[in-house]
Amino acid sequence: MQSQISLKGYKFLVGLFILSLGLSGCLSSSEKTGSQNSNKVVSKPVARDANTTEVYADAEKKEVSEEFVVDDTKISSERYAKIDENPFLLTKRAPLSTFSIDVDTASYSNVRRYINSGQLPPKDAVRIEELINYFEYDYPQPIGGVPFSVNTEVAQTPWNPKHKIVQIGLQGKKVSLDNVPPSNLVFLLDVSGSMNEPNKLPLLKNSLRILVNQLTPKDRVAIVAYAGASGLVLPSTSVSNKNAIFSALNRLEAGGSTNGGQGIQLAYKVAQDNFILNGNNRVILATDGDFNVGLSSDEQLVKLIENKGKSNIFLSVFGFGSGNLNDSMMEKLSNTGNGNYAYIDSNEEARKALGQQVAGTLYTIAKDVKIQVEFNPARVAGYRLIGYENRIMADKDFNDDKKDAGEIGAGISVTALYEIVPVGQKVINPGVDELKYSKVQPTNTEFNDELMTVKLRYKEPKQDNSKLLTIGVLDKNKSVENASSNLKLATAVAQFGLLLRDSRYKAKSNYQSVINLANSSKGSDLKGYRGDFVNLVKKAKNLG
Amino acid sequence: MTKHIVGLILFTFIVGTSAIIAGLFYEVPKANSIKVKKNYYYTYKKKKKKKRCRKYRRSSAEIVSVNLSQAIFDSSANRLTAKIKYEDSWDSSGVVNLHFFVKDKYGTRFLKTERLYASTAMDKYTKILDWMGRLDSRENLYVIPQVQSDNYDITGYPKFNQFKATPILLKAGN
Repeated sequence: MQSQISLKGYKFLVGLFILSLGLSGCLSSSEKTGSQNSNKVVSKPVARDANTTEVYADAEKKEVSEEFVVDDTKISSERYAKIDENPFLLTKRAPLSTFSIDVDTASYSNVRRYINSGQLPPKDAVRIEELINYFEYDYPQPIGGVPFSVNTEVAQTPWNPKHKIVQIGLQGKKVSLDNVPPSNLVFLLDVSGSMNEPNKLPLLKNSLRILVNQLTPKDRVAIVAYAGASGLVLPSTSVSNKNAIFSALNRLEAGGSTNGGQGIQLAYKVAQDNFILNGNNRVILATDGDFNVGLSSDEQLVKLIENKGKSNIFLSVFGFGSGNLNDSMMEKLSNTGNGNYAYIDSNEEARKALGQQVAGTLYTIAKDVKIQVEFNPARVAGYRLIGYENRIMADKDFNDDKKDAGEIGAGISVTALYEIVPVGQKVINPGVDELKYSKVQPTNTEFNDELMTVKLRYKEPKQDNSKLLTIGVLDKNKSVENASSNLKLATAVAQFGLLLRDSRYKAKSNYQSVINLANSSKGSDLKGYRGDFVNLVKKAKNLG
Repeated sequence: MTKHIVGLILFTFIVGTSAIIAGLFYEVPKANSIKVKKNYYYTYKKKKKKKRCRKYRRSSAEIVSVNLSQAIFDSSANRLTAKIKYEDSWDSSGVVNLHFFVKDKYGTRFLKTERLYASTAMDKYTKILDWMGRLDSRENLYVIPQVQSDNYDITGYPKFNQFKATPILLKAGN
């Protein structure tokens, strides 16, 4: 009996012992797990950017409606430079590809105007690099004393799974408007008869009001207007006297012919007379581009800007209206004038270009930015630069600091895409026949995982000597699905451009693929541009 | 016999209570093992305690990782700047090795390992690397970050891995 009790007691005690040990382990884990959970960082939604506060001088602010009706009969007289798409090149014959960056965004808003009015744009109105660069990308801010970060990524090409796509993304350093140098701005405004439409002069006035509201009292503004003749409407005035600037804008009325050449000369003279050393000296041309008196050909005007542009005065061009839009001339002028070209089709677009992105529009952080890519023939059979057709440079010009190239503004991102044909795949449309005597064998098999080397040259805004940046690009065998949202968005927009241009290189591109890619790259889309893009593609799909 | 039983009960109670208290405040550290989480992430997981309650086992919360997202070498100052994110669920610091490689006319070569003490508060690493400035060829440089674990092999040369390497942006010119 006693042994039975002791046996029962023993079993009970062993059970109790194991239970207590088990309980201690459980409590210990739960305690620590709980504390870890309490330390977890929960991501919070970021608040949408506050709308820019705008101050208006008088009741003219409701003068412009948000949407404009496009007169279809006039569109045919718009002028666009012909674009010959970059072909696929054989790496064996041309291992180097050199081009200047381009920060213009005009093509996207112009294409949007066409599609919103119920028609597809003319092919030559579609500059794919401008479509891509219209959007903001999530590239990191630069480190190590360079004005922009350089970001590269390789993935499968969405419209041709046998090819690869390489993204080269530059992200300009963001600056606070409180820390930028003072500005000496001259508004050169077209007030000719052709500007007498609701989506021209009234929208132009509203846009400039938005810009003036972004400036600080240390900045100065002068207004030069031109029609048949040009005249100084407002001498250089401190922005602390906003009412004087707004009143001068309000007095402007459209009428007469357009002597743009004379206006440009006067605007540069006013900018030179009020030049701010180490400041931001810039002429801002707002026009539909219909210059018809005096110097009116593209070549004459480009020559004029070329001569003026050597004086460290930059030129930004803002296009307005439809019907007689001279897109070709405005793009050439901004390229020659070391500036940027945007097309304003609505108050929304004015708020983007002259409100949210005013720092990028006005403040240059690096000039003469050139890109040169050397492809590895052991990995790349052929390549094609998507867009940038009017920015291609000779390879030898890369190291020549006298050769002009594009500027990058504060906080602005620039993206370029190469479509790569891997070794083993046939390069379609190389443009020339196969060579029979000079078959070059791929070399440097040690670099087999390296697709290319990217080199960039840039100058600080006040310097004449360039700096060189070099970076290698590795192929990590990424599919499109695993690519970053930056690459997905850029390739979606590029594919959209290929479709609008009905490009011979569009391969398996289709609108649904664009929509799917864009949707998968939306992210937080705080400003709503990516969502608007998807809606635009849907409209184009219905038109196509 | 009753005394023995009482004694045993008391003994069990004391041991059990001690075990509960020890379980609350003390955890036996275990050896680490290396596990790759994703491209250029090196992680090691502490061995899980063998506990009876499986639902309380730790998993990803114990991961220590380092992510190097950007690196630039300014050849005029021989200065390397890198954006580094070090994560440790225990919020402590650790040793990170930066393995440098070059791909030049001689092929892909290991150059050197730089060791740094990283903490979760760190976001940028800057150091003068004179040896890098003395290289004949610096095209193209790559860096692979690696958390140094207890079983880190210091005898062999690190191997280049395209999936883990971050290219270094080389800046030339004053």
